[in-house]
Amino acid sequence: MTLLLSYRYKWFSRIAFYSLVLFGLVYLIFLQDNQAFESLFTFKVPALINSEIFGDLVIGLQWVEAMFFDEALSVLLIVFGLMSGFSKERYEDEYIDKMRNDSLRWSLFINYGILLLTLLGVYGIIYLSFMFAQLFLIILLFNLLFDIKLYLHYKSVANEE
Amino acid sequence: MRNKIKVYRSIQSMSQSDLAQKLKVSRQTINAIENGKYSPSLELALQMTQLFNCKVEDLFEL
Repeated sequence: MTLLLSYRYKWFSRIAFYSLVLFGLVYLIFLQDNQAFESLFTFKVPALINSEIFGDLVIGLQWVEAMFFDEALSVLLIVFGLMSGFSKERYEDEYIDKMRNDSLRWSLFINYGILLLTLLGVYGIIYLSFMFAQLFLIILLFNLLFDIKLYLHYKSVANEE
Repeated sequence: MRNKIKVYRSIQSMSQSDLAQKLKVSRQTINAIENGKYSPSLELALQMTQLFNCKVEDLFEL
């Protein structure tokens, strides 16, 4: 039960993570390619490596103009996803740790199963979208599976004898 | 792995919550162990035998 954050981060990060997942879906469906929305979040940001289409690869600290919204959303999703999955429960014990490990293992298997299918069956520009989605699928599946297991675990409270 | 935790618990008039508190685990975990859904670690199993004052093989069997 090492490498876990304190219980006090659990609920805040869980709510933030699922809210960001919902907001991410809304963004992908309704707001992506919306010029007015994109211009609000387009500004110069520091970069270490930059490569424009048909341009040269530039390595080293530089300023590039970018639509920063999706980067910010991705960073927050990863941070809150990790915090939610790896924060202690109120009564953390070895069984909960086992559930956490099982959820992580299943999410890894499912994610790489989908990745194999993507590699073998998806071609064209949509391939990049599948690869990008899988960056977040593993942490989403892990949190979903772990939360379902926890829900069923706490529901078993009615069986006391 | 089968176990006789429920039997030993009732001999000592101990509820699942009492046992959970003594072992510093959740009551749901004791429930899962009693119902065979989860096999406890060696450390937890040894703590139980100490608490019930019995041998490991009295409490657990394959």
